[in-house]
Amino acid sequence: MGGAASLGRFSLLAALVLVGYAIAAAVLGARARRADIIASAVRAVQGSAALLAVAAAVLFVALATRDYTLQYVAAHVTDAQPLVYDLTAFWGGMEGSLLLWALVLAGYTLLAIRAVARAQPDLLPGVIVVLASVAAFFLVLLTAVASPFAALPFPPADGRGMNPLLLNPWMAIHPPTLYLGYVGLTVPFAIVIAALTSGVSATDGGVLLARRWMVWAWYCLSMGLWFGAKWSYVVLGWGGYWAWDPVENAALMPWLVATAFIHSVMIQERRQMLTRWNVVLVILAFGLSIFGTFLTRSGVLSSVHSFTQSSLGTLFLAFLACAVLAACAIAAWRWEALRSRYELDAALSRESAFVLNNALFLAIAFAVFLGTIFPVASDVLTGHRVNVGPPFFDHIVPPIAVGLLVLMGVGPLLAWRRASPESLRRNFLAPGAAGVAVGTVLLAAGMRAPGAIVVFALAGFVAGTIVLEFARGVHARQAMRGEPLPLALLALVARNRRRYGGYIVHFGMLLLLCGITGSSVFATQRVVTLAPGQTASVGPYRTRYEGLSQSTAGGALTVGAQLRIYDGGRDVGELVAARNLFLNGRDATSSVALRSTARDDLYITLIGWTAGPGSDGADAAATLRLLVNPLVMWMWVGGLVLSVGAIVAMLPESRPRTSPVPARMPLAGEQAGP
Amino acid sequence: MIAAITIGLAAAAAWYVLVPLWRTGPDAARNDSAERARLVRERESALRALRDLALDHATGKMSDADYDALRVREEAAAIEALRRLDAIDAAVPPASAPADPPPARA
Repeated sequence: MGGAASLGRFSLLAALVLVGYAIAAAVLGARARRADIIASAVRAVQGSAALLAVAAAVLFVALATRDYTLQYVAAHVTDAQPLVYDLTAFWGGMEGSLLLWALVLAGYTLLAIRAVARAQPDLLPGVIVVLASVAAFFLVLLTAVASPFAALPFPPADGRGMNPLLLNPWMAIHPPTLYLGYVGLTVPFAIVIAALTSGVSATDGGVLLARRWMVWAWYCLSMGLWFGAKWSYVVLGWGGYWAWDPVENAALMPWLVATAFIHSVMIQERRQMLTRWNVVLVILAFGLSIFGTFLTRSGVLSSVHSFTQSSLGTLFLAFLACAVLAACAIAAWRWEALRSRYELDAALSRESAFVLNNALFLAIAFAVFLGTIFPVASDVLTGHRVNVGPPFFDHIVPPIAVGLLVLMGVGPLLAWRRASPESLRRNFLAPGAAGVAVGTVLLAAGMRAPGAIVVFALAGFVAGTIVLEFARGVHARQAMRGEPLPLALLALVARNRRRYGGYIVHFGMLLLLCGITGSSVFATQRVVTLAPGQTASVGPYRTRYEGLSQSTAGGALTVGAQLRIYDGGRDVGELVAARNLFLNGRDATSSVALRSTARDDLYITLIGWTAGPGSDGADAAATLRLLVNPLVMWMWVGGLVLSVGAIVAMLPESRPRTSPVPARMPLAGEQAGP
Repeated sequence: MIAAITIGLAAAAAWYVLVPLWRTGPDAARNDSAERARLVRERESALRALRDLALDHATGKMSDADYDALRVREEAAAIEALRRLDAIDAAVPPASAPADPPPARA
């Protein structure tokens, strides 16, 4: 296998040489306006992608065959580990994750070159230079600083294996999905920088071309965050799904900025306004993606997700500074020329709602950034590390999120350009009544948490606006074409995918917010120590502890508390809450006893136990943490709905008719984009 | 064996990358289509605005007076963009007239 490792190292080195050549050839080709040199640059990028694929294949084979001559394999694979996790160890460590990053970037680069060559060929050399420069940085790291093909002089008989917390299906898909999002932000950045260097006219088109890439990156980030929350909930055993951990925040910040961009670029599409703002958002999203990578790899902040402390942090910081400064300098060079010739027609318009929504998204991103870097900043400035922790975020973020919720409901009620107050009042009536009804019912049912009532009432209002928008569209189609309801609904969505896909995404967000609110405000828990046969109650559940069991498998000793669960007096089955103790000295992990329903989750973890008189431990007392999390299931359902909406919105739309003045007024169900 | 694969890979990569340089072909076309692309975007923007206006008016979000005033403005913008596009296309031989960019996708 030593030879294969050499092949891996050679492939990375050769890929680095090729991206270096691609940068030089793209610059020369653009300056000399030589198609042959630009074609050679394209081929160099394609060649580097092929070589990266070879390097990745070598690493996969080494992991699958448990080749402990490689340092990376010995550190992340063990004979007792299932094969599927041997393969996911590819991104379980620093070096492999960097290779994955470079590989994903290479794939995106091939797709971006193809798309740009078709849509705006003038931008091709610039796009190659930017993407190849980013690839070069990662290849330098992979060849000179953190090679996944470093060999061990004395290979061990068995490896150490991955952190047991990572041996979970959610963790198998969470990192690659998140990487698809992080790395995906590089493409809009490259397109926009290429457009800025090409000229002012190209920039407008470049930003619009970047939109579809940004939407894809946003979708991947959304799914990555969702998978990560699910993993945190079912694996870490602390009862929550989001802890404002620095690495979670690192993924949230670019997601927030990308969300702002997806809204503001709609104004540019319609009004040719906000080009400068959109350029800033694209640069910011890319910068935050690199900043997130810096946080994960530098070790400056402790996190359950981060890799060990290493010198990579300094290199990432230097790269981030160079990339962002260069991008800002290029944007500043074109700044004045990018000024819009148009202005908002009226304060009461959908454009204004989008501008406000952008301000709120950026405010949350800034608050998250501040809270994330505060420990480092305080350490540097005062010599004392001050962690602000979840209370800071919980204090700042929810009020701004409520503002966004209001805009999510009001926005669709406003006309583009200029909305009349009278029509707003009229359109507000039904959704407003839905919100008031929800709030009143909750109050009547005894809910006394003001924050939760506000969120649920606003959710009712927003759901009302979404239903109203669908109902109006369907009604218009039925009135004009006489279509039956299901056909009218399908045709409405199919012909206006961006608009109605966006509404489905909003509905998914509503479900997510309701789940977050329910589980944050109304969670109840208690810690109890029970002898076999004793019971404890929490919320509507009664838990009877029936004894401990032990088993050994896969290099771990598992101690499980057998539990019988009663919901309102009804026997709903058995659960097992367990602790896994690893024979190789790794940290113990929890297996959560989880009963999940639409109303709430019963979440039980085994904290400890005391030996009983019997030798098999069946009569030992167990200390359990019993937790009831209301509405959590709606978070996962909301993520699914969001995913469906995003896929609908990303599907290509048919080309709009180009007659300047419609022969007839279009149907309400035939409009493009919200 | 691995050494042979390595050498083969290096040779194949070098050949693949450099072969376009030995081909003779036309230089990269000058960017004569930038103004046209801008006008196409202006036309698409005006058409999208017209569709938005029609929908917002049909669904009762915009008054008749606002709709009439804004529609006239957007129609004028669309017609002006079309007129200038026609002027550009009339000045370019049909065979080399650049095509419209691909449709915007979601």
